[in-house]
Amino acid sequence: MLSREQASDIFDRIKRSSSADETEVLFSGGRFALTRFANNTIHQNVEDENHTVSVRTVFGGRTARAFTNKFDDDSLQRVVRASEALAKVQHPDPDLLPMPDAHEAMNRTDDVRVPTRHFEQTASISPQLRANGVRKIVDVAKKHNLTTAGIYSNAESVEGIFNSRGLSNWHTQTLAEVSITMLAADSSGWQKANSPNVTNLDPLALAELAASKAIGSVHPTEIPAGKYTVILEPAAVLDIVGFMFWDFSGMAILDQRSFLANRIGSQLFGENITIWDDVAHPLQTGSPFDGEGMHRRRVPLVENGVVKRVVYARSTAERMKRSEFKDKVGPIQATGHGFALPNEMGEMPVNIVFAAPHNPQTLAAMIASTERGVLVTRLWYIREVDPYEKIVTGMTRDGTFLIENGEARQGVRNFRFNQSLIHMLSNVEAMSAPIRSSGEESFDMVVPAMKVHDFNFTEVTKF
Amino acid sequence: MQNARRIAEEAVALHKADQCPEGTFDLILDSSQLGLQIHESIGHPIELDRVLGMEANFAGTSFLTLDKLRTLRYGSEIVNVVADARQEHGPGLGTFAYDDEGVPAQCTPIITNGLFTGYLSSRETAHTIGENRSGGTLRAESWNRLPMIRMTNISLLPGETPLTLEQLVASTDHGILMQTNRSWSIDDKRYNFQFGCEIGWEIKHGKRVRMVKNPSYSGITTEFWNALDAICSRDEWTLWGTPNCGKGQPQQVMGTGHGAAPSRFRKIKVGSAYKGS
Repeated sequence: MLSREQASDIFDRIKRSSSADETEVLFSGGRFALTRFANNTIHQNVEDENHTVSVRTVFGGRTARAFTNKFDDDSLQRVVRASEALAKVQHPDPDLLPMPDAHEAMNRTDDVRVPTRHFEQTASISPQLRANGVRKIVDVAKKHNLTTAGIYSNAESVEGIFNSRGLSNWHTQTLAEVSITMLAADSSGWQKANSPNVTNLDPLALAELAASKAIGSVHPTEIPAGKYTVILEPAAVLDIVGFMFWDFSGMAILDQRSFLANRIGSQLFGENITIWDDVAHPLQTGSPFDGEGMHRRRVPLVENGVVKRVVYARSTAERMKRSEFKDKVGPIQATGHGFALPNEMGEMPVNIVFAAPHNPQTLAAMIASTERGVLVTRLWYIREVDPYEKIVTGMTRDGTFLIENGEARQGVRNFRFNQSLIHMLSNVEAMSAPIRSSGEESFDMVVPAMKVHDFNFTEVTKF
Repeated sequence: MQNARRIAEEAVALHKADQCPEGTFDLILDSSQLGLQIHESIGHPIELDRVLGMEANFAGTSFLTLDKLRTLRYGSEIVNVVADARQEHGPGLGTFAYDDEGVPAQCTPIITNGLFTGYLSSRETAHTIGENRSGGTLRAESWNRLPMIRMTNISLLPGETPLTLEQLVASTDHGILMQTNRSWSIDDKRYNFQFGCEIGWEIKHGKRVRMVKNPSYSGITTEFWNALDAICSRDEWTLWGTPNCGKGQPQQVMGTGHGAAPSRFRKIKVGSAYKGS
């Protein structure tokens, strides 16, 4: 693994080679290992270690970036020359700001304390340990006469940024992840979890839960499409709501491609919906600084259903202050959510945390209080149908149950939904305590399970 | 570049266009949208590793279980689909000389006169369908990933009778013509799909009578391909590319090719994407 000291040395060598007005160097990479299994046997084991250095140079408002993963002097000089040559042929960017220094980059975040996210126990997981974990999962499958497929992975990564105005930030992190599908002849179940600390993962419990879903949903019956009360497990919630967070971006407002255009400050969702971006939340992951090295603030995005504000990169905030929208978007300030420059998307919140409801309910309690509805384990292949009404489509998958008289007893064939996220988050009747959750359609979040009325299923598939 | 003015004018006109009606219509797809339809509802389910359960945790499985080979009526009799990585098929994103196991590029009949006749296979999987050689489809994204079965150029062959798009429109009594993909989604066994397009036209008595916005259609894969009743001929055929096909864990992104000519499908469900949402 690349250390901060090694990175600092590399930065010094790059800075000495650079003739630019300003020079910025991003470091990223690490070690990633994954064991994959299917049909109750391991069929793939990959591991790689790679670090990249990317150099951004600035000449009179012109900027560009070049990458390498070779750290010898010749390669570093070559990447600097490439970055400089590219920068000199760019059009000047009138919105490009001087790089932040260390003081500006702190971004008044003294109250943001990010816990350690690097755990040696996770970093040191061996192929043998992953294989032992898979064996436990396969044993569960065999015990229940099921077939299992999935992954067990671990990673150790670094992110760093240094610039010629004296800024230097460094972040290290580990992540272990388990994803399990259990297959019966005509049904399936699924569970997935990850954490920087592998001791927070319980593959055996995940396997048993996935198995219970496969067993519980055998011989699924077909019920007609229509509007149902649904109980979305946390993974289903994050995968569908994830499609709106690109819009909580100053650049998206300026470009008029955000569904929040003309809606900031309005009651868009139910009063029980409060959403933060909070990099320091104990269940979150990721680095505490953005693509320019600005420290991430804790940002209230939605409070009691009212959209309060969006996030900003430095230059986006300055553009917004000069724009026709400046009086309609709430507080305007760099929040530490910018992507590495140059880019076209600006920024987005990446550490989404749903606030705990006043009266959290367990999943079991939500089911018990439902006379007729559908329990959804997971959603799949979600795509945006309408960008302003935020209608998204997708399918249920791997454990969909009919709830009748307070019990989820019968598996049902999977549904297609076409659902406005605005309506969905206005129709939330109950929520569980938020947990860290992971899906496949969006990024990991801290989200609750939700009970939602009038969820719009439009079609039924054949299984 | 010759399309730029037309596209700009259509974008402006869409602001005032009527919402696409909901109902059952004869549907004409342009060749680019049809390319993605092929990708999702033929290309993915014929991947033999999916069929054998190796992608069950992420990309999913397939409705094309092994018993369906040479028994399933996949489409109507005019449906002929090949998986062709050879240069003579065209310069597609799935064109190469050898796959990542060193197997030469080849052409595999996937659907022959509507009958399901072939999977995408590798050296490891070919024996499961009684073949003694790989179909030559194993590719890896980069040096640090294992090669897996990927689509080559999965193409619907053009109709043999001369037929232009305008002639196809002229022969349609009441239908919707849809062009250019906007959204796409299909279940994890590749049965139920829904696509949205950027622009549509309602056709009555062989003429485009109005532009419609937000057109979408949905269906079940085999029902849809069996509803195909006309394919434009070679002059209208284009080898399109899908540059961002995701599969595998860790996920690998690959380019795939899809040749198609505008085609007509009878009695297709239109407009449910906006129904009650």
